[in-house]
Amino acid sequence: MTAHSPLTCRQLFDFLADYVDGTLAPAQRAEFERHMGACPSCVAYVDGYRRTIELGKAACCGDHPDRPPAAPEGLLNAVRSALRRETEP
Amino acid sequence: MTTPAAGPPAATSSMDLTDQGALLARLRAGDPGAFEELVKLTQDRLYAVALRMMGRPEDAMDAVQEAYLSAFKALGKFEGGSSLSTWLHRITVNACLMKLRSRRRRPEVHVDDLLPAFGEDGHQAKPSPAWKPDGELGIETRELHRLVRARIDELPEPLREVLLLRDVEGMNTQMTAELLGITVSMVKTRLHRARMALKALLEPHFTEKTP
Repeated sequence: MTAHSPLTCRQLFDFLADYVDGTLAPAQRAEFERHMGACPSCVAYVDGYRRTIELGKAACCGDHPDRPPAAPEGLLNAVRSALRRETEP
Repeated sequence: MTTPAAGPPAATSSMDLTDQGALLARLRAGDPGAFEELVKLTQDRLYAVALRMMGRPEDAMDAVQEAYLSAFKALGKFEGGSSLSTWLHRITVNACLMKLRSRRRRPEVHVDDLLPAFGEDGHQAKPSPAWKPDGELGIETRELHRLVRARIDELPEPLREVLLLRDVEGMNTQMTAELLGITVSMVKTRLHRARMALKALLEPHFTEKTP
């Protein structure tokens, strides 16, 4: 990205991951946002991209990511049995 | 290992191995109760990791079981450079990756068909539709999560692995690269492609249907 040429959508997409991850340098970020100010299609795409990340995390972490389910009661016994099989002659 | 009947997961179960040194010494000395103690302390956290990566409880349980078995065998090689909990986390993630790779899967999507197209002027060939707010989707949260998970499972393996490690497990790029044996640059590329492909797969559920 340069300060003098307007960014195309294709160029913006190259930096999209860094933009949403917050790792874009301030000058690049400003240019990215300048393009978004004039391109509703990119605004919609970036919003969908962010929502996709959030949805992926939520789908895998469950309804209460701060309170993950405890291990099933049978896990400890299953590990015991597996280890017994492993260590018995 | 001792073999008393397993009780419910201990409420105090924790990954906080504050006295790691003492436990590690007992583990290395072959104390039969030490490994069981390690399992009790770490099983909830490791199961949560496996459940996030595998999606199904039975698969998560298998993966954690295999992880503990691998850890037991590798205890002699654990040098203490990282914490026991970090070491176990990595073993669990590896066990999940192995299981995911061997799992019978539905056909994978062709990612190139899902990536945005651009015109000769560098602008989007087709305008991106705006996504509806969650409240207007008319779909229950649980069902929505099932749908999203199913779409994640349709991604090609190399993309799905990176998406799970980076966006779900929250691993940094460097650690993901080391775990998968690929470069940092490849992690970034795959993550971006995975997100764009998943977005395209989800889009029909989140946008107004074209008449």
